[in-house]
Amino acid sequence: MPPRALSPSGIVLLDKPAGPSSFALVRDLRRKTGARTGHTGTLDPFATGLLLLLSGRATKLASCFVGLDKRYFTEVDLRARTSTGDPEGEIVEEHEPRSPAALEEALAGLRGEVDLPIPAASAVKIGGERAYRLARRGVTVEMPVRRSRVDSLDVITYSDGIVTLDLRVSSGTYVRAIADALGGHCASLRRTEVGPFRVEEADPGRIIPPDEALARIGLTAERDPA
Amino acid sequence: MNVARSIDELARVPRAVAVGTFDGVHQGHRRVLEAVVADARKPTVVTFQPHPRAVLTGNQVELLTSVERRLELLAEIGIEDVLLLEFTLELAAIAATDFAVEYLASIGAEVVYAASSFRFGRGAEGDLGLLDALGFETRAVPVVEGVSSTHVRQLLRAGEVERAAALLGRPAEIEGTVVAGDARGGTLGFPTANLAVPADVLVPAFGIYAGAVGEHRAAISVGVNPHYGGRERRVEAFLLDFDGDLYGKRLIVELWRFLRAEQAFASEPELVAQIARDVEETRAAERPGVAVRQR
Repeated sequence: MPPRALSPSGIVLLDKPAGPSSFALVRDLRRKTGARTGHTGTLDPFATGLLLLLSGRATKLASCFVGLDKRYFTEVDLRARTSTGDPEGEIVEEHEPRSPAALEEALAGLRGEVDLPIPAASAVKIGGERAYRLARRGVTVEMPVRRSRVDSLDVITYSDGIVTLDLRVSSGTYVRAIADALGGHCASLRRTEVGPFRVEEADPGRIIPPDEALARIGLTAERDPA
Repeated sequence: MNVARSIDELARVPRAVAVGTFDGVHQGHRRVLEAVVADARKPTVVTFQPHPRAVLTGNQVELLTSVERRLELLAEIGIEDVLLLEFTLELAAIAATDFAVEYLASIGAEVVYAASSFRFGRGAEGDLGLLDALGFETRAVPVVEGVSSTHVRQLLRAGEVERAAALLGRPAEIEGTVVAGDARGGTLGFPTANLAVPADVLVPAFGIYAGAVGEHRAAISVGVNPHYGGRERRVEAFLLDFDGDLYGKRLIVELWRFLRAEQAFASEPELVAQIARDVEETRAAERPGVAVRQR
């Protein structure tokens, strides 16, 4: 039976390596502390970077932390789109990458409030058939969309069809959907910030007390049932 | 774990939710449920009784787990709240969007975890994409290849309890309440607990199994006791190194290995000798290694 101890209570910042699921990291911490543990937003197994875990009584504060804005670094391979928008899907389309000017134009259309299709990835099927398979057969599919806010979207480098982007986005934004909209897929994805928390602060051995964590996001401990 | 039978019994708090029947709570279910538990929001399951397929088709569905057992397993995984809805044709006729609003949003569901094949609502019209469009966060959990309740049923009907264990993530089991039996085992030197199994729960292939009840190993007979010309199905467990009264108790009997088919013997001493060999094999049996959980 998983532990449900309410202490230690607090928040742990981890730098997730590529490979394991977010769940595996939750489980590791749970084993170590013996407390109920949960994350505030997963990273796909291939992704790396900042993962916020809540421990013990602080899991009750989950809703304060799940909606925080995020910042990512991603390498987008503009030469191919994949079924999932990440390196784990199959290639569905290959093409010449955009010129730097065309790329900048595409990026401009993705800043601000944007409706992004939910990546077919999530292997969501439409009418029983995978959306990308339909897409390949030339059937136009109405994909469900989600409103996202892209506060910044900057090119760090662009060469050989691979563009490195630095993005600040609202919670729930699929970076894979942005890569797809650019005609490519995420070759790598690293979350560098969650709200005020930065990946450089990650320390698996430190449990940040609930008061301190709440203060960082501008809330007082009054809301803290801990 | 708190079990509610209507939405009014659940506070509206931020929840991570999985929706499904979860009969058998097998490895595929477990993957989804563990993802729910790993979310910091309140891990919640919305599930149904009776089995939706039984209601929709009118055919009996042999359950892998009784509702009671299903709830126990959900609690073991770490689910904190369960909304157990009575599955009726009326419930089945609710549009997916209405179901999402009335039963998920109303209890505070923020994120829904499901296998990518997940469908819900009238005519199975709803999926994760719809929930996403309605403003829920959704997380598709990869389907575990080859694991399905149907497959587990087939294996159990064939007596393949070790393969079933790999899919279930725990040994196959029979649950039931100990009732008065023929009191024959005692006279043979092997007193057995005679198990009344809930009528809608699947009983594996007839035969003799090695297994366990709690800390005690057990030799289990499923069948009609052909040596005595029995007609009625019996499930009997002889607990090794046990001395006590089990009448009226609910037992979970683990089936580790199929030992042999039932048979009639030429004489009672031959039957007793065979039972003694079954017991020795039971002592030597190993609990099926539960497949290592991925990732």
